[in-house]
Amino acid sequence: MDGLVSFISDNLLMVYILVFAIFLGMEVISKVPTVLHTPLMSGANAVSGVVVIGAILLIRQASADDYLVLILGFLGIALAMVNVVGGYAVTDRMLDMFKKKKRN
Amino acid sequence: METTLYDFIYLICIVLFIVGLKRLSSPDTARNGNLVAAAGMGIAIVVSLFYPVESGQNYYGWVAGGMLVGAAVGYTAARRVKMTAMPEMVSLFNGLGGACAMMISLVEFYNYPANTPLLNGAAFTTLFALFIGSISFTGSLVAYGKLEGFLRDSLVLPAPKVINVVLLIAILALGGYILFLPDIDFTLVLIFLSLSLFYGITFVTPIGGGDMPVVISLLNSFTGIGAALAGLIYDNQVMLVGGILVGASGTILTVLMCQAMNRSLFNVIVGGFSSQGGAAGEGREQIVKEATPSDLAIELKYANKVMVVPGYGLAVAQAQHVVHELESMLETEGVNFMYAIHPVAGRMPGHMNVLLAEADVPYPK
Repeated sequence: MDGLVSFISDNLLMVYILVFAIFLGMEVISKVPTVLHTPLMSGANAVSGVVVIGAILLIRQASADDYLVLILGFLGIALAMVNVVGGYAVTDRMLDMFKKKKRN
Repeated sequence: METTLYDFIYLICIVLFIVGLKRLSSPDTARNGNLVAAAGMGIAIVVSLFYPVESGQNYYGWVAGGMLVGAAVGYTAARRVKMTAMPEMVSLFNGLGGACAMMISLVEFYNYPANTPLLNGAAFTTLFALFIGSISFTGSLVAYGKLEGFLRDSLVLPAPKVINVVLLIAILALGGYILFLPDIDFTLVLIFLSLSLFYGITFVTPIGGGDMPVVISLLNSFTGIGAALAGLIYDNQVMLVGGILVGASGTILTVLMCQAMNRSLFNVIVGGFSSQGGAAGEGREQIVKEATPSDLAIELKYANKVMVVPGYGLAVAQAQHVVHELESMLETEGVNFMYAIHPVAGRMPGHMNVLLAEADVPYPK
């Protein structure tokens, strides 16, 4: 248990951020109309692609010729980039349709 | 410190994410919100390329290669996908994000220093991220397969509840065992990974039909939590906040969707009955009356108010354009034409509205 306690005290700031972000996330979304559920989900999905940053940092810290790390990291970056780019592009396409008929 | 500037830029990215999500939840600003969030992501990725790291070879070739491949594939897929197939696409993308979280955790364990007890926060976080990422990965793939139609909806494992509970207990027990070991055992971690991957499959498989969007939304928040945990591992605020935002909002969205369907979340996850029962009515011979919009318009001209309740079938048949044609004909005759869209019509809440928007139907109707 000591390990866990010291982890929390070492990362106290991160734990604070985590808790606040949970409330923020709930607050930001709570008033969304049903019409936007699908685009919002898709947009949020794209945001969850931030995990790509982890993969980037991972590869940059890889020691020389550690091919397992390189290959896993490469896959991680590629997959997460599909998530990010695809997610935003799909969301944009959906929202574009809402916008078009506004002009009419 | 050298990193202060980078950390400050990360803060800007976080603000962009929050503002973007906020704007995404209101119809007028949604498109703009998406772009804001995308800008935040772009900046965050660029900063990560230059963020000072303690050691390492900076294999930019591998980074650039991965980014180019991923971006190209993602962009092409997003452009090509049909609007009716949107939910499965989102699910697939989501699974890939989960896979990334999974790989990061796996590498973290691979690099874990030998002869170090694992009962510490870092190992716990990593193990948790591995678990969540794997579920999100295989679960999303199953959801994708089901919606896309190459996995039968009626495909149900025998006694899914028993399998799920047993698997979950096994995973938790193994996880606990790994954490209490005095030294890292990579083989056990791999077994843990396989069990988690398998659990993702058994978790989603019994859920079918109309409950699918709820599962996708839930898995989406799983990926978010996975990203946040990875953020804890790397001490990276953008990943932490971005991930948690998605985790929290995804959970709320999941609950909202359940409410729209008059089901409880527990009911959806444990239930899994919607895949049965559907086949009962199919034996009957159906009488289909074909009518062109103008025929229908003549008949409906005598009505004062017409209300259309579109379903997913309309979208599959690409009939929204015909309906819109009908609408314009009737409106010139002074008939009040309305749409009644069920909140979960289509395959996701709001999906129907997207599909109707494709045919230029104004959406507040």
